[in-house]
Amino acid sequence: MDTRRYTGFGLHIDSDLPLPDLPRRPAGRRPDVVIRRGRVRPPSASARRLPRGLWADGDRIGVDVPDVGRYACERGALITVDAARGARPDAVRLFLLGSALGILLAQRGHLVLHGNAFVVGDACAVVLGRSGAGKSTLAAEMHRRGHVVLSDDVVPVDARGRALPGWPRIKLWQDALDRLGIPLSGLDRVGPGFDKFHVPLERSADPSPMQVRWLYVLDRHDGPLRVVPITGAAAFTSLHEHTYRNEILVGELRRTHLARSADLVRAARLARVDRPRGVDSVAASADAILADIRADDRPGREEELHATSRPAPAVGA
Amino acid sequence: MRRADQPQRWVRDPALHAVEMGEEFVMMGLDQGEYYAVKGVAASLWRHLAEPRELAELCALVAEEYDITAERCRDDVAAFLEQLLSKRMVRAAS
Repeated sequence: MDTRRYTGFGLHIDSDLPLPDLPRRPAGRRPDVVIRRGRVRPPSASARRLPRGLWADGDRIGVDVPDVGRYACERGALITVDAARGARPDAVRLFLLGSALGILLAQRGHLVLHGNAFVVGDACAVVLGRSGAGKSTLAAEMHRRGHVVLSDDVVPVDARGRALPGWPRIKLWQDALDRLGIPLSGLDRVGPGFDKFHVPLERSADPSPMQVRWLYVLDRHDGPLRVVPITGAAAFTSLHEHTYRNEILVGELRRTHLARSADLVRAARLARVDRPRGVDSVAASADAILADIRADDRPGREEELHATSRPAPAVGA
Repeated sequence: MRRADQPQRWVRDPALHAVEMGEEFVMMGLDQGEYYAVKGVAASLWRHLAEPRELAELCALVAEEYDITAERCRDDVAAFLEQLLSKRMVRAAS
């Protein structure tokens, strides 16, 4: 079978399956990650069954998707895709680049956040929120205002507190496209039967990993737009809630997640953006976030960042 | 459930993960997404519980640190230990 070479999240990925979303790369260096088609052994009797078809079985973490297939991720280096008979290739790809790649990135020791990241100066801000909170619409707005969007949907944060760049596209629902005035023609659907589309972003060059300095959780409340800092144990709860596929955080991954969360809470500002219910002004939310960043972007911050970028010593055990 | 004031030594559950954040400790509970932060006297009790300790011993340590009598803080220390026990964050040392 043909192997195709891609890049994404700073990784060299060799894949048996064509992945048109990902930038290609020339032959050369050995791959960091291999994606292959093949039979996936069912999870053993001792495997932990997790919600959403996820399971953890020793070194393997996988996901079973009815009518699409079974995926297994091992050692952060190998994804095996066992597609169901008759499964549509775009559906197989959707779960491969979603759940399976998210699991793999967690296995590689990253804190995998569910949101998107955009560049501000020499650092980046991450926007988090539940599905439908308007994360991608906000990313499109930041892109329109000239901020480079590092990645959409999945933001892996490495051990040095840097967000790794994904591929240059944003997933938007049709109503968001209409609101932002982006024409539908020529856009690919995210998956079969979805009114959600991939919007390609022009980026002049491949961005490098960027230090995360601000994190914003999109929320709603009965009242005017406001930005409220989140600190203490609540900061950890928030990061956990917005961790991509947080159901897989069992065993050693839990410990890594806590250490990474602590690093991030020390080095970055975390705040909640409470937006008035019913009203949806993406421009006002973008204004509030950028104003908060400017207010926080004070001199002396750089030193603080360096002083706290060491990995946290874990106590306990 | 065991009671904190039994003649028994208590120790942190070794499976529990915690990180030190400046003045406070943030601990991950047993359930997904559950976190607790402790500071002040509670944080120093938590620090002492790295080793198996009896209630009387914990009271003596806190009394020394905060310059009060062990009798005065006994009820508070016992209450905190009960909380940790109910959340299964400490357990009886063998």
